Amino acid sequence: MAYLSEEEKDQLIEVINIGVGNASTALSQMVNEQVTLSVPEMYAGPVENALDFIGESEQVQTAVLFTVSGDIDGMMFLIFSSEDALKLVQLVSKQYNQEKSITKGSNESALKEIGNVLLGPALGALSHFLDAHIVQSVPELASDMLDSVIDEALSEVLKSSKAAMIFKTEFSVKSKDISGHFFFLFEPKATDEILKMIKEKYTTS
Amino acid sequence: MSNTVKIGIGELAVGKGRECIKTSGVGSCVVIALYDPDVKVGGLAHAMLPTNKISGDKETKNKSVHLEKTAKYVDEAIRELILTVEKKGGKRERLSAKLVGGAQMTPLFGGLKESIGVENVREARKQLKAYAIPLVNEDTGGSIGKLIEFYSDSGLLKITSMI
Repeated sequence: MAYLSEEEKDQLIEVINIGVGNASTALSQMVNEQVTLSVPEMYAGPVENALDFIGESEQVQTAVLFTVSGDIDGMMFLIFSSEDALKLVQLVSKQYNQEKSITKGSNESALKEIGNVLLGPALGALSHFLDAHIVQSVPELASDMLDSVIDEALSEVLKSSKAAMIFKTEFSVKSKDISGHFFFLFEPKATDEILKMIKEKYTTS
Repeated sequence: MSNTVKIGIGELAVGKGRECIKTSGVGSCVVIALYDPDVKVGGLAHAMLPTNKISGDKETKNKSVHLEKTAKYVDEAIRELILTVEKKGGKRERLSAKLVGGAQMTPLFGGLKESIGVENVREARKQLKAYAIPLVNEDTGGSIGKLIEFYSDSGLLKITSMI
């Protein structure tokens, strides 16, 4: 996997772009604001070195996490600072001056639902583009030091693979000063599978 | 503290005298602390999984070996930690151990199976027993991430959580 060609990297990033593009459209419609997306960045390397790529490790952050299974196995995360997660929930639910903590009851389930609304279309676009059958788990929420939240996910990957490939895209709702990151994580096997699907798509069409 | 060393996931470090070893964001990982009070030598290992179960592990045999961290798996981490403590003048029979971590951060992985954290702690206890190193204290389980500082002049562990 460490031996991907530039063309293969571009193809993978383009596929991720299709997914996050749909996620940002969903977000834009939900909050009725313009959403800006960065170009996806890619990490490919040992699982245990991935934390630095994912983010500020000691900061408390809020993550909505999904596992992905079917033709492609992997994970998807939505990661924010806890303040931005709360701002987004308030923006969507219009319940200002309510719960002040993102881990309190209704905010927690609202944020999980936001995760569903954003990453559902992203995964849908991926599976449509790749003509693959991919399903997502129910969302789970964790809010703590980022590396303690992510280490369980990385350990899960390490059970079957020493390497991981991760795509990171920053999104922001500039008018509301909210930003966060979308992450897609695949094992090398799943990455190979995606590349194969891309190849099939372009040789048959 | 005169000298602070920070270790990441899958790493270990041993200090002697007035040194501090720090590791942050311990979730389902388990951190093993070993200490020899007579010579004030001790350290931490930050392990991710109980044992290496990847079959036909080709990667360790080729050039990527230099990328490998030695403390990814609990069994290897404890072995390496003991060896490193001994290199710095510690004696295996004087060592005592503490464990931190093994939390379940989300129910996303494992489902009805045991969480990775539980498995990590169990393997750590098993290994310590096999090496006849007494486990004097532990702060394991739960669902909260922890930041750990270990002081090799006293063997004290300072555990901090952010939430």
